[in-house]
Amino acid sequence: MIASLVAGRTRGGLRRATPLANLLLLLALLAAVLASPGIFVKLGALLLVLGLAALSGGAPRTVLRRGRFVLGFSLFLLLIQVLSVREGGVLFSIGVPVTDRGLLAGAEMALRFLVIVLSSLLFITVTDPDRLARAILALGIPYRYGFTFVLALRFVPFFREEYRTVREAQRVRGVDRPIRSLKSLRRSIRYTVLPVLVAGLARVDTVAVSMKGRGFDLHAKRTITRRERWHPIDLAVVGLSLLLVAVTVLARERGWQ
Amino acid sequence: MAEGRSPRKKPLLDVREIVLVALLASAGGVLSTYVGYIGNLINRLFGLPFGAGQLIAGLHVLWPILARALTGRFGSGTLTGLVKGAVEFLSGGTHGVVIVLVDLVEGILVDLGMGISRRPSLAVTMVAGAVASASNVFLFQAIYFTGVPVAFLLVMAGLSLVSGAVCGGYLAWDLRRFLIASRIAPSFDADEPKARSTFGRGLVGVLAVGLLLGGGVYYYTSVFDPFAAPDRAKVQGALVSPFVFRYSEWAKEAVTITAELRGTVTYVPPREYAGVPLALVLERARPKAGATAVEVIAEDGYTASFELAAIVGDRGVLLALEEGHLRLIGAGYDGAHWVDRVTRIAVR
Repeated sequence: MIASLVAGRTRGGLRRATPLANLLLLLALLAAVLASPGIFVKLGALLLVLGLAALSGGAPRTVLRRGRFVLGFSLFLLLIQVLSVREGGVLFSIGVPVTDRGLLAGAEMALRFLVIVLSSLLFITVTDPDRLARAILALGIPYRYGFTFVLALRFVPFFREEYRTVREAQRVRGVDRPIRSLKSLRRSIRYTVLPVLVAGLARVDTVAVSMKGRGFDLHAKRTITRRERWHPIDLAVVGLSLLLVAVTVLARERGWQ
Repeated sequence: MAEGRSPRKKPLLDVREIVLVALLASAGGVLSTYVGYIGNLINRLFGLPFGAGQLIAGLHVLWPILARALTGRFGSGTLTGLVKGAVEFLSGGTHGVVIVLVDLVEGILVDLGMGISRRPSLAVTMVAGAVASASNVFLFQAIYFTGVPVAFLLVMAGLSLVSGAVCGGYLAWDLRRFLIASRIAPSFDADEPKARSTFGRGLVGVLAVGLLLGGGVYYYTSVFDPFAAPDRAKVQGALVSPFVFRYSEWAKEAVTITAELRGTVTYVPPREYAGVPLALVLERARPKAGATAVEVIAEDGYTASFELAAIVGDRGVLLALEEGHLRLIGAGYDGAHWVDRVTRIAVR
């Protein structure tokens, strides 16, 4: 269902942790790169993500190779900041002056992007979406709405298959022409989005009746058959998350660059 | 399996609508790959490395608008946006977990925008689509593009706004008509009174949403800076040499004074404060001829104004570092001039 971005040869590292513990770690990493000043904490967070990827059954190189776009875009962010920020001492000029502050700001943004996207990739690689959905339901979210998420995940393979079928059918009929104008863009959207959507909507009533037939929405509350059990690895992940938050707070207080 | 049999309040969405929302969110999450692909093609079409893809940003808000238009229920747009973001994130989207926030905000704006009228008319869906779509530019700016020129942002937001109106609002309105006409989706209008929105009500709604959005965009792009480093402040405005003040670099210049804080509510008896005189900071920045005032602005937008001439010779107005944040100490000034969490100093 989801992209496997870290070669999953082992069941070690974060793969053994519960989805909620992993989610907490992801949020802590997010807080660290968004709230910390300078590059010190961000660089540490990046190394942590790569280390956790290695521990969880994939070499850091694999994550980086799979994330070529991520690296390309982070370089773009670096460049944008370098060209935009004019404050600070001028280091050299490439038509526009490149300053030390510009380089630092660029490094901050690039690191922020790298950590957010790579930690997200790591999270989805080590977390089973079904377990995540169950864990979210167990948090006490009204099951009618929590189930929307479960249901949406169930529709993903259907839509992927339908999308592939539509694209192949278009190619067979010679519709798959390159987009060279706004008119061809409109045609492409019409011929792709509409068939996929109609195929899905045609199933709404069937699925709804089937759910009602199985007792969905009959009662206000719903019990859960399988609850996630917490293990020492989960406590370690939670501890790591709290440590990250503490380091971030400290970095803000002390102004670590 | 089940427990509790007490009568319940009527739910926000019935089972059919929950399935519809899940389905549209899922379709949106899966087709975002397709949207990304088209975005890259458009960038190539315009010969740009990035940005022109905003021309189809509206396709991302198509799904919450369609959910809201097909169900007619407030909240369906928000739920669709949130679930779509989660699906996109778990599908390995290139924006990472940030996309959940972006889609959620778009969904909320769709609900607010379409709340203007009970009927999903073309104007309403286009306004909702435009507003929701443009929000992505400002969210990404706050997270990844802090410091880029405002003109660049406005161009991106403009493209996104148009795209949201056309690829989001118009397309959703057109799709809804088609789906209802071909009996694939029922119209919720049949169960509701045929209350048409009056022109005045619609106009007030549009103005309210526009003002809210405009105010929000202004505040979050020009005033509030949640990610500003706590020991730094931008020194900007009518200056020959604007720069970023970092306390650690100026610590040697710090002086100690005794000052008394007399505010309307707060009173702090005379005590010692150590900090860098604001006059020295302005000396380095060199105000341009004609500049008359200095504004000291806090993280949340709070501003205190001083006469430039009065500050230049005053060694009692300091920038101090307290608990990791910059604070303006204004000896001789009333409490309203003492600013906590300073992030900008602007000369006018």
